[in-house]
Amino acid sequence: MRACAALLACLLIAACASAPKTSPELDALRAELDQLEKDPQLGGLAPVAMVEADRAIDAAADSLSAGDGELEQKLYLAGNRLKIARAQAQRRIVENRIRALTDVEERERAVPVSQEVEGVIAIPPPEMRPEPVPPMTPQAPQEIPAAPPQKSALPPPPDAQPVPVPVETAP
Amino acid sequence: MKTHSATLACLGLLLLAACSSKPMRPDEALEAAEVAVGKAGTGTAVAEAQGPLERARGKLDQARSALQAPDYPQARRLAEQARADAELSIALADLAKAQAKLRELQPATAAEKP
Repeated sequence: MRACAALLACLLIAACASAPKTSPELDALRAELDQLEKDPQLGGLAPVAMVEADRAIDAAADSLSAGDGELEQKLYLAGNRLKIARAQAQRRIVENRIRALTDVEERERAVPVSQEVEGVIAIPPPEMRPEPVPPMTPQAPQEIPAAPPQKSALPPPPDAQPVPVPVETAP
Repeated sequence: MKTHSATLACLGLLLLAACSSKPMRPDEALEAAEVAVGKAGTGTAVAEAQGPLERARGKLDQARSALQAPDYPQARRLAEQARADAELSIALADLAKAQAKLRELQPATAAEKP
């Protein structure tokens, strides 16, 4: 009977010792991150920031388990990481809206002769297409008149015969 | 002779233990905090980001004081918090700027459409 009681007590102590420690602040942070990741709009928009928040929460959990006195610090840092992840995801949503609006504006302003949408060239309707140009008839090649020889502006070569210049004589 | 060697060995071990338990100067943490606070301060002033930025500046000052004290563990903690606050300030400022740009665009597109 005594042996059974001792065994039960040992098992109870072992179970208590191996139970993972937790704190309400840590649980709240974990729940908030889960909610953010599962959010249909925000989830997946800031994956790097969310991984960093997850790591910061893990670090806080490690501090809690180790009892190193750094839990409060790690909780503060994890809370900030979570806020950063949320802000970045919200910014991505806003930037996507801005991109959609500017795309609409540009599409309305552009001449709709041909539109390139995501790498595919859209063919415009027949009324928007330009008038077909008639094919060129073959013509005989025009003769280019030979240009008349032009006087050179350069001085004559030194070995050329000098042109006699008439000297005016006084009457 | 043997006793003398043993004493020396004990002293050496004690010295090593003393050195290993001494906290390190948190220079890297302070530099990282200074960079983050500087980056957060150079952006355009956005009301939403001012709270975290002020907190970051205050904690960075406190971290510098703790470094002079010297209370290295406290300096490291404050520097880490200052960096985290500054990075939050940057994220909030970026969000606010994007929201302002969206507000600018939305009335324009609404007015253009009949």
